[in-house]
Amino acid sequence: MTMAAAATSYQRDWIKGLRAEITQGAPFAFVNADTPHEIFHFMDVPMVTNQWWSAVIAAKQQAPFYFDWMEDAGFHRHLPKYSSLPLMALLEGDAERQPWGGLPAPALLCARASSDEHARIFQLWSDKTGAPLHLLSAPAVPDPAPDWWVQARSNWEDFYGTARLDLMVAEIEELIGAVEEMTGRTFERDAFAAYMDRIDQQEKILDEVSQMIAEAPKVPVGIGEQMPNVMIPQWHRGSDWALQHVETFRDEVAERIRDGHAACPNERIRMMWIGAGLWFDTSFYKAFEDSHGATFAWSMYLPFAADGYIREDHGDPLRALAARVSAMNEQLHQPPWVNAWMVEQAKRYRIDVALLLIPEHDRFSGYGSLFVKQALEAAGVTVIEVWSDMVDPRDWDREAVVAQVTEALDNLEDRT
Amino acid sequence: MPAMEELMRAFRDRADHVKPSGAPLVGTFGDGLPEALIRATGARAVEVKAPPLADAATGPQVAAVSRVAEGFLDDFTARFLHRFAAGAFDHYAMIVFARDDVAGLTAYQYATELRRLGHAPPNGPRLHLWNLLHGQSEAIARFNATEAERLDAALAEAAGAALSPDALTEALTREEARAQALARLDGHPDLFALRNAGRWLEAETHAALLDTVETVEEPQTGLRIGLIGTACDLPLMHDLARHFGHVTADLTPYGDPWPGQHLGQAESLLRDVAKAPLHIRANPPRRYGEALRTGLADCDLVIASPDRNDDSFGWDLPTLARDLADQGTRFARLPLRPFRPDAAWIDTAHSRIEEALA
Repeated sequence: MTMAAAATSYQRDWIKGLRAEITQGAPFAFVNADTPHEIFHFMDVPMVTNQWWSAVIAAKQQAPFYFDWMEDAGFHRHLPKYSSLPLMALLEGDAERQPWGGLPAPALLCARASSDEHARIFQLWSDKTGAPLHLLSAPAVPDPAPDWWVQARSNWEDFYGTARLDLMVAEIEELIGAVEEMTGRTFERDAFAAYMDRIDQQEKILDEVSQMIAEAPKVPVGIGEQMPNVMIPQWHRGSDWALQHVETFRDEVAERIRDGHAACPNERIRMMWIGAGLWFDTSFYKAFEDSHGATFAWSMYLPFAADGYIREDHGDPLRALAARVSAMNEQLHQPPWVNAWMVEQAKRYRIDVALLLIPEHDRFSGYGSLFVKQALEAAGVTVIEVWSDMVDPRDWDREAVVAQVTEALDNLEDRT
Repeated sequence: MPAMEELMRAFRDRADHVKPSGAPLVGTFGDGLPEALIRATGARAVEVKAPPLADAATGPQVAAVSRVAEGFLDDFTARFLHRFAAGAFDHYAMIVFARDDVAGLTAYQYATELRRLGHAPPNGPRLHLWNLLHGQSEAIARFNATEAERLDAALAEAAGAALSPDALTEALTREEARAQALARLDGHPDLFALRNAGRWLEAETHAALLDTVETVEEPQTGLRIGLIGTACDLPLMHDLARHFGHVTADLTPYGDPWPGQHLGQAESLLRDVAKAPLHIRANPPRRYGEALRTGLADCDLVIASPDRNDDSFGWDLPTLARDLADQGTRFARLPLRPFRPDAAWIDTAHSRIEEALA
């Protein structure tokens, strides 16, 4: 698809620019995915996201080396991998082995204490590089209503709780102070409101795209193409390029639907991929198209752009940002949120089969998986458990998983 | 019943040891909530995280729980959920889950979801998440104050009486007496069980029983040993350590910090608890690491025992091992611990300690 290629090309150029900037000594932030990136983007601070960098290292097939090293260095085998791969690359110390020849020391680190490992991983980054760590608190929502995707767009004050939002705003304000000090620039609040508004526009366009794909007679864009078209603009959310890209993406999807184009012309089975991307083997997403007409219509990245990001500002964009961030990761992994959302999405996308990634060593991402399975099965969806890590291929047996999925698809076809 | 027997029975039978006596029962899952706060509402605090020892062989297996409990779920959580769904806590007024406990948040979320889905008794205890944050900023203090108000309201509703400041002062006095009774038994070979038995006894009963226990000091010979790791509700590590010396610091979650970390002045109690540095989950890692190193400063040997579901403690071990080696302290790292270790695991653990000392 031309738009996916355009996004990938833009990202490649942007990476080159970023790489040049930071290797020439420009101060940059190294941050976790569920932190308020908006502050860094808006303040024009170069930023590298931990999980994105992890996927880059994994895609270059370097994860096995680092995870073997991790165990040799005394970290036990069951520690989470997705968020720690970049740390292991840093601690291992041979920068030349890493993509870009490694990252220089960041000027600032930021993580949320949303799972047990994040604070500790970032503390080790701080100890190794000397960069100051901004750790955002992550108290849980005590009585979470299941339909977060309905409540959180506008009614977020009640939904996430005033005390939690007050805390998150205070901690974001502290982060803003640190970024102001680091850059020597002032955080312009009116301009920030306009920037947040552009992000809202972008996510609403992606909401339209999600609805179009869900309703299309056949899937016009498989998840392998959805991901770059969604995630790359998401990394640049609110920029002119990102807005323009998602508009063109929407138009191209509409045109494909109008023209009757299908990602898998013999589509008979619609599937969803639940969990983070399988970053070391993305060709897996097309493995069942020829044999069973089974195509992946859904991954979380597109619908989450809308449900996870659209937050009406109610005249207070910083508080809307706090609402966006305050349970960002939790909505994807914790009951009742994750199971309720998966059922809603499966129905919306007319899903027949769900592949459920269960990373047993990344427990925060793995919790709630069997609630998801139970809920989807009750909704009539066939669920296949895929016990694997998203970045560690050492235990990944593609042949065995293909056989497992093939058997389930065969059974499904026999029944229908 | 002799005091020692009563204490050991409380330690063995745990929540099953507690018989309803009129005061509403409030279960606590994880540390971080001072028992005195519960007592001050006229209710009785009962630890529900660690199951009775017999649970390993005869505990309930509820199919609805087995269907949703992933194999990597914390074992304390899994066993709690089976017991919860089987109705073990139906007569409780409330269960409070401490988010700063490693297993607490998951236990709360799975329990509430099981109930919402109709897989757990609908009329059992009120479930409450206690979101205390560990930190010293004003924003965190404000958040914690709001959480305290929410807890007070929930306790008042569940226990039928609001927290009274006088009652809190009195409850803290009882806690202080318990701490003193424990201090008298410092060095007792069964101190781990004697201390933790109090999680299932009221403070004054615990103190009174402890006061009648004869002091028996283990010979303070051999190495001075520090214990670190994730939660272990058995005296397993102490039994292992005994072969090599005497334990001078048990910094694990069922170790020395309880009940002392829940003491303080009524007016500053929560601020004091929020400063307790040995909660691995909720503390900024640097504070936890510093507290660990301070606590281990006088040890000759440190034994580290993370469990098989650990995703917190293992990050600190390589650095800690290096730091300890630099100061000449021996360091034994045990294999990942199953919930109820068998003889083979214990043998391997013993060998690891011997290797560290070789």
